[in-house]
Amino acid sequence: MINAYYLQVLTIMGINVIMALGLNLITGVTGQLSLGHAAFMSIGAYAAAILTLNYGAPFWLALLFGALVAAFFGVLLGFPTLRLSGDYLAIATMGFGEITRVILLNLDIAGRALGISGIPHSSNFSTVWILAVLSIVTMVFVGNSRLGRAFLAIREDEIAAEAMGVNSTYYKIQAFALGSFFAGLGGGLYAHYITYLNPSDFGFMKSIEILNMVVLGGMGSIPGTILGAGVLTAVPEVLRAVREYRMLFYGGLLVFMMIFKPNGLLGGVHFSTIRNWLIRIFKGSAGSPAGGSRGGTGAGEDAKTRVQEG
Amino acid sequence: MFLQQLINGVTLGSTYALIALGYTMVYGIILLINFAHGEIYMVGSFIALILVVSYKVNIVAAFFAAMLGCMILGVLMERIAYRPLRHKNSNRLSALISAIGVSIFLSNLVLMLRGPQTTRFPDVIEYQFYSIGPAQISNLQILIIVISAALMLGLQYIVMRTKVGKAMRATSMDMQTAYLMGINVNRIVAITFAIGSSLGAAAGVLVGIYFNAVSPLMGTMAGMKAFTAAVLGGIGSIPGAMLGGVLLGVAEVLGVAYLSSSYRDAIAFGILIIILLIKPSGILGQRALKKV
Amino acid sequence: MVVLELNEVTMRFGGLTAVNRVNLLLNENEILGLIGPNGAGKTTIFNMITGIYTPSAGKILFQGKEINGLKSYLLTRKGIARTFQNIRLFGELTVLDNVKIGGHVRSKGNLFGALTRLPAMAEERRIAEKARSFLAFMGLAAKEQELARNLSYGEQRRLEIARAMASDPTLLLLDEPAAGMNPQETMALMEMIRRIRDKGLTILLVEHDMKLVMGICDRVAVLDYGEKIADGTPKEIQSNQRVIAAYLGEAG
Repeated sequence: MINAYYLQVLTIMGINVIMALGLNLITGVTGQLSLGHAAFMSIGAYAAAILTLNYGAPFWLALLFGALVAAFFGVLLGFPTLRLSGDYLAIATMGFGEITRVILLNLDIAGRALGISGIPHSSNFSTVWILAVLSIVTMVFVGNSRLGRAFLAIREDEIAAEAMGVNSTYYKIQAFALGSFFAGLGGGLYAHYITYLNPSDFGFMKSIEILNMVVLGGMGSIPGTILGAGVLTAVPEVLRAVREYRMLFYGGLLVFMMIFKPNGLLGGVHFSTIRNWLIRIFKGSAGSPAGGSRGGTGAGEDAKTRVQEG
Repeated sequence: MFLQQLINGVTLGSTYALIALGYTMVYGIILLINFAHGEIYMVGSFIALILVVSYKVNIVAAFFAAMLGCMILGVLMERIAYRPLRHKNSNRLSALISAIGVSIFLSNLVLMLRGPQTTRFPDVIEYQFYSIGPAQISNLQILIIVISAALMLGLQYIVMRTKVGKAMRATSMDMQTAYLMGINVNRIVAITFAIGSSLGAAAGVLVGIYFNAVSPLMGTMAGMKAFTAAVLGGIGSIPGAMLGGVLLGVAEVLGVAYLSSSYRDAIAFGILIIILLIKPSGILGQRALKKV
Repeated sequence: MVVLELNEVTMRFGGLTAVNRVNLLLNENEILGLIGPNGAGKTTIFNMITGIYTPSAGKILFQGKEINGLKSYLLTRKGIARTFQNIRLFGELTVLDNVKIGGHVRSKGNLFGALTRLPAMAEERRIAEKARSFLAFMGLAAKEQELARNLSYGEQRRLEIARAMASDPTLLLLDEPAAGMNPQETMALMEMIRRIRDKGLTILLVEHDMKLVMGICDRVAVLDYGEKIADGTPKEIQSNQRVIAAYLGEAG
């Protein structure tokens, strides 16, 4: 049997997976560095909590509402800032994160500095992981679609993407909205799991923590992001030194990864890659690895079958 | 009262301008927002504080020691965290993430060593006040404004009149060509970090004395504001950074005086987002031409 | 029918006039070569036609309608596609995905489609099929699962053309398509460009390889210091005194 402590760590891990996947879509897939992911998480968390506490809304509705409000703010921030080049966006999202925190600190309905407590404990291991799996599936579907290719094209070369007819601002806003949606969803789950909220839980450092998950796992890779979220949720629990010097560790990790392994642990690895590895392992080297799995599984599979370097 | 706020704003703004110069110079040369620059400013403040408090060093000596210390720190930072990326030709996102990593690392290192509390900076000069009409200006404020102005003029001289300055301008226009013309680009980048970091340290010491307080967390916010100042003035432009710094300082002081102090830190971000909307190239910046 | 018309088009960058009152006509199904020394303004003209720069003065008409200052992606939708002088492929994506993105404007599919999957599947299959046909056309069928950045230089240039063609353009702009190719590759490329024209496309190309320009262009326009100094058939251009003085003369 899993004891309560492990269950709690695994639940938080699932929430982190959802939020990190959202950031991966924005930063890893579309190539837009967002430093305000925690702000969208907080918006989702507060919106959901306020809806259940003040309006007695059912849990599922509150979750959806929180995620949609976060997505709405994603669009709101996206409109003006996404026309800008990448580094300005990073700063603007960081500023947005700061503004959100300050506003939450001064907002009566959000309980000001005290935050909100007494939120019903409606999230649990299964709700979190059901939604996490749904999020993963969503991300895989998006990644293998025309939409996902437009995101990738923008990351690879924005001028060429525009020359191919991709309206980059429009797609960047979509990526932002979608990514923020998942941050808000994670926030809503978090609120109903931890049962209290405080603006200080959603500062810049929280955004950096989520960014670290994506960077460690491999920007743009869904299995990588899941791995990154898993590792960075578990390691501070296991290693006391990491827990105590968490931020020092996160800062150093970002620099280390960029210098020595900018693609992360699983950069460029997709589920299809893993599946091909498995096919190769089980069938021996008989089947051709890249093309062998394609027949009959539908056109959507094509994009998944990416040949890997090395 | 307006004139008084204006004086306070210009004083604060000239320190922002000093920090902003570091951002703008580095951005001008390697197109990187050096997120860790705010931390350099914080470290500069701490170097002076420790020298003055623990080693009874004279404040003038401590001021220069802080500048020198941060100069070394800045060069090291570039060497360890940025240069390897430049040589690997990695994308700009990697460099930006690395810079954020350095920033977080430095602020938390100091946090670990010194604790989160704010330390009082000892009174190193005796206050005197002078009246300008209904307003008052302190000798310290005059000193801050004068020192900042002197440093900025010095920088302007280096950039515009010296050989190193010419190499810096060439490198910022086209690193590849500058390299082919025999300019040691790595050296120029290192010098840029050295100068920018020492100016940041100077600002750190001045602010430490002015507000009588030094804390490990002061760098992030000041860095963000100074960056805003650099963007406001036009990133890459040295006069722009000065102008932007002073304007932002004044805006912030007036905002706190006439609006609300609880939104003090949000004012700068609000301004930043508004400039980015209206004129991303800033007041004195030139619109960069897309190279295709 | 006139596909593209440049009417007194001028582009100034600060004090520099990169392109000065250039007139140019492109007829349907024609291959027009744009030549001139480096810095003559050829790529600047490309960038104006494809919406990267907005002309300082003058008019650009595509199929009779003014397109000055329209965004790149809108021009692609209207039927203008291009390649880049300094190759701009989506390097970390596969060859096939590169071409699929080229077909972006000629396909449908949004978030809803991606999530419901079923309606999108037929569309996805169609996109893949089309992309493969363009790859085959440019002789890259065997490379479809390679990452674009791992292709050879000549292959990358051909992939850029395949990607541009996937947008089903009326007008195709090729910016130095033969740069970096060996003579055999260039010969093969000439054949491909001819076949593209035979599909009904109109082509504007900038190129330094005179064998290619004189070999496949119906007409050639010559730029020097931002001004058009000659316009005519390859034969006329080769014997034009001004051109020889300004350009061919220098070359030897």
